[in-house]
Amino acid sequence: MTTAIVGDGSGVGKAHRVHTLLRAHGPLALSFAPLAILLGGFFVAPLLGVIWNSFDGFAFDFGSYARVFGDEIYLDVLRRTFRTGLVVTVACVALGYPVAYLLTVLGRRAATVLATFVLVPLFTAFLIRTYAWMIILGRKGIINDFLLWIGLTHEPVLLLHTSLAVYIGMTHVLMPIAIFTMYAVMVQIDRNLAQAAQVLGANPVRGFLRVYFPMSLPGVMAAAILIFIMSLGFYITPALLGGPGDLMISQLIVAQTNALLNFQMGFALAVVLLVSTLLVLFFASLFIPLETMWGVQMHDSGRILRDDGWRSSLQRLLRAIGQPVRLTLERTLFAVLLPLLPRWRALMVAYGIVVVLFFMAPLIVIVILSFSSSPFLIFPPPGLSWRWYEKFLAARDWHQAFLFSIQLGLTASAIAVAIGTAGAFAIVRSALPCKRSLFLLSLSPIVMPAIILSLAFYTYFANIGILGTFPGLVLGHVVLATPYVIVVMSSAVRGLDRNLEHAGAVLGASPGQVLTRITLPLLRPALVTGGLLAFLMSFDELLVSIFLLGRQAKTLPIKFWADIKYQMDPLLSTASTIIVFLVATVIISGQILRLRRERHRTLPPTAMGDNVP
Amino acid sequence: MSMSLSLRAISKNYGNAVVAVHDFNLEVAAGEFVTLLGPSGSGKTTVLKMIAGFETPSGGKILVGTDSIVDLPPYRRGIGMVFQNYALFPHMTTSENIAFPLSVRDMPRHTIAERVAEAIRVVRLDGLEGRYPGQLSGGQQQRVALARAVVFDPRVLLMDEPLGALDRNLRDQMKSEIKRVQRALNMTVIYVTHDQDEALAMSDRIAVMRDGRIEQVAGARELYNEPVNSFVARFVGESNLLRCRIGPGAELQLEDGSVVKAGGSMPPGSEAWLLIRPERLRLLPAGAAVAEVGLSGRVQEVVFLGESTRYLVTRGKAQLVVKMQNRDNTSFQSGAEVIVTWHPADAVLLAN
Repeated sequence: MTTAIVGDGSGVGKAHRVHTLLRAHGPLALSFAPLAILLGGFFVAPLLGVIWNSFDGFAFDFGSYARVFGDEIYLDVLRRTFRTGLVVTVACVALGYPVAYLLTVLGRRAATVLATFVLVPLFTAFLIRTYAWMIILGRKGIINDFLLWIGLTHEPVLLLHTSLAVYIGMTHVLMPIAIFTMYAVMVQIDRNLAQAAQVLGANPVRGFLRVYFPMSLPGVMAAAILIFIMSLGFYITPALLGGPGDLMISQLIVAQTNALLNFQMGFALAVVLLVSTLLVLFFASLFIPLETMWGVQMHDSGRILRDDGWRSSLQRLLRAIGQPVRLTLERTLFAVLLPLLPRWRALMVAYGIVVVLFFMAPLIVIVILSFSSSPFLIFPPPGLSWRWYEKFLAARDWHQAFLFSIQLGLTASAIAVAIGTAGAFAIVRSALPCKRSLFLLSLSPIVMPAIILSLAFYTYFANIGILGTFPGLVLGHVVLATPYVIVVMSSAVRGLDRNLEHAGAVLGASPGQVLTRITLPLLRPALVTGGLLAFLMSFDELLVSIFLLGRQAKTLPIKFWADIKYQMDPLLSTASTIIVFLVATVIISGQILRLRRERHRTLPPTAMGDNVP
Repeated sequence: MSMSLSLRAISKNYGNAVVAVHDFNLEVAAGEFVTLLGPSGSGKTTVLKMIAGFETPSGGKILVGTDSIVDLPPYRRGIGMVFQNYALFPHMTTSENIAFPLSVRDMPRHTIAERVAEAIRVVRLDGLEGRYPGQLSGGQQQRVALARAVVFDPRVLLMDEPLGALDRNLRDQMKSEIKRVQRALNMTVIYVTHDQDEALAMSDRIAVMRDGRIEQVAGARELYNEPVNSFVARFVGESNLLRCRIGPGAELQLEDGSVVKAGGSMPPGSEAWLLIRPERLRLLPAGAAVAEVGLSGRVQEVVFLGESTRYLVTRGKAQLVVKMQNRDNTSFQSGAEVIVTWHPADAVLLAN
């Protein structure tokens, strides 16, 4: 009897294993397929194409590389690109750190307000913000007007078309990203630790330097790497704010391919940029899990700083040398800061306000200019009027671009949400051994300089015959937008309590019902956020669109780009104001909804009681 | 409709090395409350997951009534379950949570409304129908979870450490609350816990588990008074376990050489454990006359517990815990020389 049961049982077991394997891994494998096709077919393959073409394929002609590394002009551009990246990175991290810290210590309402002031510029198109800086820094711009008015100078100072303008513009664009990356790490630091340090006898400065700061370091590193990589590939800001002497590598690539039609040279430069990016990423991966850059973590990469062999002995050595320096530094800082400590909070808040002003100033200028009565870009405007809004209402070309961009954004973000969400489930829930690499690969389009992808798509899409078509354009945007969806959805899926789905199943809900009635409703906030990010990504995209557009109607950023270069008038401000207003409305209503939802789903503890009848 | 549950020769192994559950046999009658009690890692949760359908047994049969359910996915098993942290759907109100199992079964709306109202009444949640889980206290969430698990009249109810997240007072209240609902609905319950108090207080029978096997299945009284081995004795209740060797007649030789009398039928010469529960031991002042058995020792620690006093008595390397009711004012100071005595019938011999 017993043997019969056991024999029966193992037979059932075997059939079941296959069944279970399919049941457990079939859907996951299926849900990963679209992402795998997207990444393999439309990201990795085009990039390999760039590399292949850079030495002219089977010709193995490395002449372009010889020129890049042999010609002082190219080397100069490379050096400048790295230097600009470094300056901007230091500025973003150093100026952003206190703001990120402030976000963690403010009350929920105040933090939400501050976060909104950081988010609105973050989601305002690069182009609009850069355009605003052109107005502010121009020869007859606000700063020069001010300097002349207070009599500090009698001649307008040259600000626009200088390296300084590039630094300011790029810092303005990238600092919000640095702030949120650092915030993601800082918010996880137990604030009791700093208090514990003080109770244990460390003065506030020392407590901060020895406890809080080291713990926030992974966030600082992550932000620095992210900003550095992103700035290496910058195109819009240096092109509009920099002078001829501020040429960066992306501009050089565009010039080589679009103006000189020297594609092989463009490919070679793109490969140099690609390899630089990968080297920086590799270097970074020695110190931090790369996921930290996107504020997400795979659960198996919990260790923050790996501690092995040479790295820890290097750290010990540095510590031994640094000890006296550090003590002096701590003492000096404490002595200097001591009188400020009682007003520390007020100082932090004041700094936060200054940063908010820096973030908002360009937007404010644009809004004011949009009501200008003058046909020229004069600030402050001589009078106020609706004339540019009237003109915008009649400007069919703007409407067309606007609608086309919305159509493109909606299509691309819908596809990206579908692919990214399915992929996030597969990445988080499957037991694949290489899932961390897959995860990093799926996020890598975010840090890939846009010019490389533009060039890669351009040749690859031409080969498969979708260059200049709407599907081609959508596909390009999907590749760029999907990683944002994955960032949001993977942490949402990870945070999803699987017991809720189990509860649904055991209570009688079929897999389909579990998905539609439990899983998706629980993920809805994340789906909205992911979709919004994907949409804004597409709505703001310039370079890839320029390369893939062909003869189609202009997208909004391309229309903008063309107008900035050929006809600077307040109409641009009007268009920008409308866009900024739309973006701000979406973000602010999102924040209000979030606060309200939190309030409605939880009551203060006093309102609850365990009154057992 | 409550039904019986049969687990026959269930086993579960992960890969080749790890055996989580080994040849597990358990028959649960309809309306019976059976607890799986064991330390973490003993396999009790794995058994529960196999009944619910989240894990597939490597071998064996699971029957509800006379139907085998091993091949059914969780949602076709008709089993109710209360999860460890309740697993209430945060986006649904109390009513919506409780209505969920009915609405996924496509019941007519008015039936759902009636049965939800009935369930809310049974678990005494009136007035909280429109609240979200985040707005409920731990005890209230527990009641919602219970109502949701029983509202569709499941054939069997599973409970996975349902009281783990509650503080002690609430836990005591919920124990009787769960028992009341189970009796009122005559539910077949499989209850998983590592807390012996919960197990003893609620169960008709308790299955003590270790390393994926059942050590003993018995009622609370039997488990406490007649454990089959030292593991069960240690895990259920507090115990004094003395190593001993069976001598001729009714005599036992303890490790330190002293000889005591005890009942039991073990072959002379074999090694065994002598189990005496702390409340069955009594202390006498040194030099007092001893009727049956007595071991001398010294009081090392005295803990006053209100209704009783707990003494820790050392005797050489061995330690004995003695718990005496505070019926009179007799008490012993720390450091006092005492005699520990007991009635031979109160001692249990356990095979090694």
